[in-house]
Amino acid sequence: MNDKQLRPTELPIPELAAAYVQAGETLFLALHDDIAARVRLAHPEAAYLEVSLHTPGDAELHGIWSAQEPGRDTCRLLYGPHNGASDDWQDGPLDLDELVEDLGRILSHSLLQRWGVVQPHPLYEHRNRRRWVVLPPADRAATVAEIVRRHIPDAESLICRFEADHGGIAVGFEQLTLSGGKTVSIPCPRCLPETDDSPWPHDVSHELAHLLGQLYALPHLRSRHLTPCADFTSDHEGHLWQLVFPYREPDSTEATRS
Amino acid sequence: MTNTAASRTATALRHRKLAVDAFNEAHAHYEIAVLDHVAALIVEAYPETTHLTFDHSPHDRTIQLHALWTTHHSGTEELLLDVRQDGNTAALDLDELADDLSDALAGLHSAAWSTVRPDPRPDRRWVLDLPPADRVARLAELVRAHHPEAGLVTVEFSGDKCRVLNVTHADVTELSIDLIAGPTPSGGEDSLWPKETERQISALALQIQALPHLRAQHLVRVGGPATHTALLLLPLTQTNTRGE
Repeated sequence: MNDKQLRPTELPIPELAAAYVQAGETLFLALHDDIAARVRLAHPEAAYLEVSLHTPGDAELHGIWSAQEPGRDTCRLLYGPHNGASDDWQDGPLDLDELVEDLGRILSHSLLQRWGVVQPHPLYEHRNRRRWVVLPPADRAATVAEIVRRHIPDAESLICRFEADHGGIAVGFEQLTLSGGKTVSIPCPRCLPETDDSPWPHDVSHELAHLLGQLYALPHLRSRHLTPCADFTSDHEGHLWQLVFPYREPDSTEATRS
Repeated sequence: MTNTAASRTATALRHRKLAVDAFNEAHAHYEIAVLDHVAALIVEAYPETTHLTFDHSPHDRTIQLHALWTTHHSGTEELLLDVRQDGNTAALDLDELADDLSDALAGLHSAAWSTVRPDPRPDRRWVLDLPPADRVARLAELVRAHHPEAGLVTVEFSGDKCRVLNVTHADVTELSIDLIAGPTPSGGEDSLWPKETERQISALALQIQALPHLRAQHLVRVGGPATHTALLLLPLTQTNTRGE
C-alpha cells in the first residue's frame, strides 16, 4: 500500500448512525404490526396484550384483551394462558411460542415506549411487573381522521412537520384544512405555551403524534398516506407532510358519534 | 372478513421482512463507515500502518487494541506502536479508537468482521487489515495478479458471506469473452487463486456491497429477487490498454 495521504472519510458517520437507528425503529414497528396482525387473525377484537418481561428478550404472555366496550369500562379477556386450554403453545391459528419470542424482542427495546405502544398496566398492583402492549389500529390514517374530526368535524386534511431526532420522530402540527378550502393554523405549543387556540386538548396531541409518527416511520404507510408539501415561511426544523382524510359526506350521521 | 385478515397478516409479514433487510443494510453501512473512519485516523497518525492486532472479548463484545503494524514489501512485519506498552500517544486517542472498533465489530455477523483474520501466531488473537483507500482498485489488483486479463468478476452474496463464482476475460478490442470456471469447493488444482486471496477478494466484495456509493458504482445485480449474484466490473488499468 503506497497511499500515504489521509484518506478522506467521505461517509458522514452521524447521519449513518441516525439512519441505522431509524431503520431499527422501522423494524420494531414492523415487528409490532406483524404481532398485531397475527393476534387479530385469531382474535379479531384484540386490542391489548398483557405481558411481563423477566430478563431482556424473555417475555411472558398473561392475556389477550379486547378494547373497552361501550357501556362497560373494563376490557374482556379473549385468551389467557391458563384458562383451561390444554395445548398452551397453540391458540387457534396463533403460534404462541413465536408470539412470545417476538414480544420479547420488541419489549427489550426502549424505543417503543416513545411510540405509545407500551403503556403502564391499568391495574395498579401489576404496574411494576406487567406491561400493557397496545396493538395498533387496523387503519392508522382513518383513526387519525376520526380523532381529529371528533374535535373539528369538517376537517379535510392535516399538515404536519416530521423531524427525526435521535431515538424517535418528533411530530409538529402545522395546519388543518376544512371543507370549503378554509385553513386553520395550529399554534406551536413551544413557541406559544400560553395559547388557548389549540383545536384539541394536550393528551389528544400525544395520541395523534404517536399515530402520525408511526405512519411516517413505516415506509409503506408513508408512501400511501403522506404527501410532501412545500414549506412556507417557518422557523421550525423538519419537513412538511400532508395527510388527506378519507372522504366523508358532509351531513353524515357519524358526526353525532361522541 | 377472514380473507382481509389473512391478507393483512401477509402484508404485515412482508413489511416485517423488508424492515429486517433495511435494518441489516443500514447496520452494515454504519459499521463499515466507522471502520473507514478508524482507518483514516490511524493512517493520519501512522501513515505506514497496514494492520492492527486486538483482543476481542465475546462476553461484553468489546475490543482491546494490542498494536499497530506495517508490512514491508519483502513481507516482513514491523511493530509501529505497542498500545499496551506505551498507551500515551499524542497523535491518537486510543480509547476512542477502541470504542469505535468495538462499535463496528459489535455484531457477530458484522460486515466489518470481513477485514479480520485470526493471527497465525499465539498470544496476538486477531488481526484487522486496514481497508485500502480504493477497494475496487485493490480487488482488481488481487484478481489480476492471478488472471492478468480479467475484466469482470461474478460474485454471489448469501447472508453475511460472499463467494466468487467465476472470472471473465473481457477483451473489448477483440470482442471476445472467455469464462474461467470458478474455484472448486475442495480448492483443487483448477481453483482460481490461493485460499488467502479468495478470502481477501470476497472480504473486499462484501465491503463494496455494504457501502451504497460503491455498490451503485461497481456492482450490477443479476437474476431475480431471490438470487444474490452480482457482477463486479474491474476498472481498466494501464496494462489493459494496448495498441498505443
